Amino acid sequence: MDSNRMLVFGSYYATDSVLHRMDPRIKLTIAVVYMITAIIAVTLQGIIPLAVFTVVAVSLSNIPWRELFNSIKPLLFIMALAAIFNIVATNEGTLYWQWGYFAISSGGFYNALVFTLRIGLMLFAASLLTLTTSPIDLADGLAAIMRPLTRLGVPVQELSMMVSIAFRFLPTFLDEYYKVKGAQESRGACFDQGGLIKRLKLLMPLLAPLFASAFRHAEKLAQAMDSRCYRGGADRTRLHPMSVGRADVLALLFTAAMVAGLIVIRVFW
Amino acid sequence: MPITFEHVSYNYNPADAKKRGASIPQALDDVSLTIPDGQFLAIIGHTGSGKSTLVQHMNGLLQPTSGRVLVDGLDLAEKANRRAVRRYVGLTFQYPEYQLFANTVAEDVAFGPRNLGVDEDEVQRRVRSALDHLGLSYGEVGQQSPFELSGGQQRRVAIAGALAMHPKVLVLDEPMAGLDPQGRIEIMQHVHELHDELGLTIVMVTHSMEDVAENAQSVLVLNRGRVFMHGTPAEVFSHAAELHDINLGVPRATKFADELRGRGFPLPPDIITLEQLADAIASRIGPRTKEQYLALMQAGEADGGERRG
Repeated sequence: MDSNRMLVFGSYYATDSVLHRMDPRIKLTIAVVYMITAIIAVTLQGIIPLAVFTVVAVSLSNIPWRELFNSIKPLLFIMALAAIFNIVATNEGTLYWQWGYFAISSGGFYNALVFTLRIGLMLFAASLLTLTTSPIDLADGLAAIMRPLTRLGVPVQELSMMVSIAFRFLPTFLDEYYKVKGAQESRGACFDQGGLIKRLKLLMPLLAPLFASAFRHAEKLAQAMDSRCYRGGADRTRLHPMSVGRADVLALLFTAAMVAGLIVIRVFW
Repeated sequence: MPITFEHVSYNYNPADAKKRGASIPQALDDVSLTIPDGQFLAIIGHTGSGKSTLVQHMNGLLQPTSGRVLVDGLDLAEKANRRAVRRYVGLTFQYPEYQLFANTVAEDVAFGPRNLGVDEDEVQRRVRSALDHLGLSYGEVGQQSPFELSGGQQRRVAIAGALAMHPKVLVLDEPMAGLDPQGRIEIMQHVHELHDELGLTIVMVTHSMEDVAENAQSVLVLNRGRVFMHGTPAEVFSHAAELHDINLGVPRATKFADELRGRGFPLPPDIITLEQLADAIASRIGPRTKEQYLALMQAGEADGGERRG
């Protein structure tokens, strides 16, 4: 309906920061290492290196904490459920109350706390990744990391191109969806009324035009890419080549320090 | 079925607007106007001036962030009124053929009247009649898939789909966009007939000043969401300089007449169509009146030049 409708896809928060400028491949790698570290940290003290790392990363990203919390909000409910489960199903430490298989103990509270913190931090890391890396860079970074797979016959570059194109067209299709919906509503279709059958019947007037439009776009785009000599394949270069810079190296070292810190804590504390 | 806008303003993102204060540009800013029954209104304005946003308020697809829209006295702020109004105010978007979805042309045109709960016999009658009004033969295209038709034919099917609802007002957002010259002429002709023969109120967003001059009784000029001018075509097009300042032109005939006047050739004001221009020039060159000149041409003694039909 309105091409001015503001949409942020992949929750990318456009700003400039050290994290925004880092190589996406490095960011992806660090994110994975972080996740693994979080899984291994099972004690409260083990969380310290993770927490320190996260706070430093967030402050370097110029992303307001409010945005981070917003990206976690959808999952708060599940986290709360898991925490409650931890509380009532653990029987360790001082027992406060028991009833059959359910027990509330100090161990339960401890586990719930550690669990919530771990999940929270993992979610922060995931959000930080998508907030500081545009969907296209994410796709490119992933493709670069998976490039060795091309030797096994996996069309990594083409898959990455597909993902990029899909992201690029999401706002376009959303626009067209609103237009088609508006056009059918103008002809008396009511999309917010009626039983299941009625609403299913209304899918055709919505989806058929969108599919037709998808094919139209695909044809035009294919012609455009073809006439600019797109041949797919691994010979393509990037306008802004991904390069590992000083920030990236420092980030990797910092990550290594975090992992080392965790290991030390696990062994000695 | 008059349509009235009372101080209508519209913002895409009201929450954002509140945060950033009054400096946010409004898609529509304090628009007030009345479209009386049976009028042919043309809406012109630069790209992004709010034309599409404005017309989507006319059948309740959009609601104002302030002000109100009344159709035949009914306030479109109420959902029930919006639903009711869809029956009487038909709307086609730009490139309306992109909304076609059914297996056959007849099925697609029938979508509107069926949604209204019209009985099947009447639906079929309306389908045939609507296609006919847009110059399409039910026998030829009725059972074809809409995707097999040419762009111009698809366009007409889409407009027929709105017409089959038997609206009293037909709102068309750039109905001629992207068509070849012949297609444009045909669609304009059909729209003109809908106004003349069926007495529909027509609201047409267009970029063609010639079409405005030839067909519209009233012209609304939008600029950055505001009403810039509202009057008859002759009135509006007499302000060529102001229109130029907001990126709009005037009909070719008007431009030519203005140029001639600028070079000292006396012409009456309010020339907006080619016919008027030709008549005005003809009646001023040489001692001959237009009738004398025509008589001469028919007798084969005209002094050069081809008469353009």
